[in-house]
Amino acid sequence: MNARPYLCLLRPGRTLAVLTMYGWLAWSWLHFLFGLPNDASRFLAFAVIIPAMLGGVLIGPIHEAMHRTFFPLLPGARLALRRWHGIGLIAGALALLALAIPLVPEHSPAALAGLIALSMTLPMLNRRRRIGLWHSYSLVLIAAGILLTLAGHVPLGQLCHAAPWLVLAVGLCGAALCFRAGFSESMVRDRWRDSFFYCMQSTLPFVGSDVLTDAQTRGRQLAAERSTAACRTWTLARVGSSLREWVRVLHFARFGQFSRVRTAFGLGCAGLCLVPIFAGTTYLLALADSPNDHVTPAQFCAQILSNATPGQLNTPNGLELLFVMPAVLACMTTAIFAQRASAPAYTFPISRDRLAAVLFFETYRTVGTLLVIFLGGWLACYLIAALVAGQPFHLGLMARATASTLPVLPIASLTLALFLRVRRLLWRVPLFVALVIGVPILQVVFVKTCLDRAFTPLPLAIYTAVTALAVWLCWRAFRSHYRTCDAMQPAINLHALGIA
Amino acid sequence: MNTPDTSTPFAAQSLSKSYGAHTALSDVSLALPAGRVIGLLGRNGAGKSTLLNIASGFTLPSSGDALTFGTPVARLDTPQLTRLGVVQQEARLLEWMTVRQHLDFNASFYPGWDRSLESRLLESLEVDPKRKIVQLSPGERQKVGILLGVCHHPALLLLDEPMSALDPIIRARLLDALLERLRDDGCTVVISSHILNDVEKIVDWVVALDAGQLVENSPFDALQESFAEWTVTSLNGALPARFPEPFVLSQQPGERLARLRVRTSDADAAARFAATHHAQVQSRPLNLDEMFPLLTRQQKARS
Repeated sequence: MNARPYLCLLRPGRTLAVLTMYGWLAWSWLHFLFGLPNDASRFLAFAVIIPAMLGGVLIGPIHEAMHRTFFPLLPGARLALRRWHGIGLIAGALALLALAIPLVPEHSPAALAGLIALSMTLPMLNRRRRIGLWHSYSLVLIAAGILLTLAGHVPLGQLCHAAPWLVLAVGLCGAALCFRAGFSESMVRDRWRDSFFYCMQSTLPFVGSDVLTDAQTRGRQLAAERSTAACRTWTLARVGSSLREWVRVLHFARFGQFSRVRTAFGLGCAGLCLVPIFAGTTYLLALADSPNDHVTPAQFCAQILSNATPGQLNTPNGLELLFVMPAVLACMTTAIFAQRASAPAYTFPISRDRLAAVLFFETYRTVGTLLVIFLGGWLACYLIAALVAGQPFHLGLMARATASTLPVLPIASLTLALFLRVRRLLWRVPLFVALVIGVPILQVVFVKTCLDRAFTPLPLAIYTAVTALAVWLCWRAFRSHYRTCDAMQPAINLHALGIA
Repeated sequence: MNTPDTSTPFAAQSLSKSYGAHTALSDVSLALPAGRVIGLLGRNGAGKSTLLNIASGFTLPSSGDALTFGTPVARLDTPQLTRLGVVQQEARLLEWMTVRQHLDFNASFYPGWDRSLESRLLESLEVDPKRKIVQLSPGERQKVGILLGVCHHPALLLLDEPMSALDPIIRARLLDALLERLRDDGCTVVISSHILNDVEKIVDWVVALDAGQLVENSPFDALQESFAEWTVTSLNGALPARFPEPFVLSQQPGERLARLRVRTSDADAAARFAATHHAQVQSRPLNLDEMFPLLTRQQKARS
């Protein structure tokens, strides 16, 4: 194997585009969203996050090849890919180091090199990548990244200052171990047995792309294959012409494999899982604000409750992040799952207009369910906080949380409408970038200016008008899409792509 | 197409379909006769699946008109779609369901769903209704696709390579089931298949495509009568290296014995040919397998 097939596998154009876009996003989110100082943002971005992304996009195509059934038939493929990946890692690490040294002058090059080396090799250990079913390793990396961002960057920076050569040694040893483990015979053998795979640069840059849709479809197939739980029974003997019945048909086609009890239990757990996220984020923000203050659990919960009521937000960071989260998550989730949400699971004997209407209502039903889960998480958080703080719980505590979720509906509607309309790949990337930057900014502005006045008449009237417009635009996008799309692959509008 | 003809199951006028630079269908005009079994023939990439997808409304034309039951394919609604049965080459099924669940689910969409036909087909096609769709082999999935497309007694049944993954025993049973359907309901069946020996047993109309263009649209009987293989034996000297008659589509030349494949509707053509070339001509009819390459060759010769 020479450089040519390796570069072909790597898709260098896309790799560079992914890295540039997400690297810049990482830095801007660290600085503007999480409110880290500029030097800390640059440090985390160039020493940890961007190297991890680069490692991910370098190993992605290698893993893609390893997950193919023909891989074990290629003589010497494992060792050849290991050699080329090693070369790629070294080249990437040196390039990043060359970039990091002038941009992060506060830290020694040795420490930077150690962090870069370790961060680049961590994605090699990821055994599975699925979209519908998050693997624990991905969660661990994401959680570690958030923890590092919110509370860990200070001690890490201090360690780099105090013992840069130790950081280098640990980083290089860790990188070597990850590299060895990533190309071990057992891990490679484990991969080719499972053909389900996607790699970062084929999917996330063009959110909602064909590869992503295909990966989601295969993920559902795998889930169907492995599911041993009893599915729901279809009880409607005859489907008439009413929209309600067809929404029920579509809902059953999508979710009938999950029993109602399990679904309710799962959604409840999802809501409860939000509690530690909310509480933990609050705690870390408070800690970042006043790291030397020892806060008791009761005080901490009292702080949560005090920030729930209208008035001043009592930390400089203002807990905007918590109230920004709903809209940002809604936007990202909608963008990623827009195609899946807007494509029927099956072809039904109904007109295209009727199909558009059914999918439209079903999509909003899903958005509504997600909102309920989110509000449920907030409710659980405040209930527990009130209990721990010894304060009475009242529904007024939900005012801010509810207000923060108001933008979800118009944002999700507009995101869906845009991603249904904009199918050309050249426009999708800037659209995605605009959304991930614009939505947090808009939400921060909303939180700072309107959060406590959201339910007064004028803002409510404006909100209603904006939401109605967004929903109408979304409906038009659905209808236009389904009037012209190829129903064999409805998630792809060939007309809009200009190839039909 | 000014007057929608609801009795014609499918009609196309100057129908074209392109996918980027690739033209799948080019200026196809036809009207499928009702109540017939129509063999849709063509090489790989000829446009057969595209034509069937357009007829079912799954795909929309790039230009031209396509009407199914007199309705433009973009506006097909429940009244037309419940009279349509589609069996796709790779059936899109709901993986998590069992066969029984999928049949019950589909049955609720079609007022004319026939449970007794469903039971008979389940038995004759040897489909286990308790198995999950995701666990089925490609052939078994194809059988389920056939069940889902046939049990509601459609007026127009579109079959895209329905037998490619079936064993010969099941293929024979499927053909019997299709013939039974025709006898009982008089529905129009369009079957696209490369297994021409099987298709030949049931078709009475042939539509052939080549490189997206329509090359044949005629009754199968007429086609059989016009195609033949002539064994030409010279009575006087050597035969020509090449026979110039335009109806000779292919030739295996020889000095004294030649085999020609011809297409002509003229009953006296053989006699005149024999007289011209001082030869004896013995004629035998061709089957669909043998006719198929000649259809495309003729299109190439014309263009």
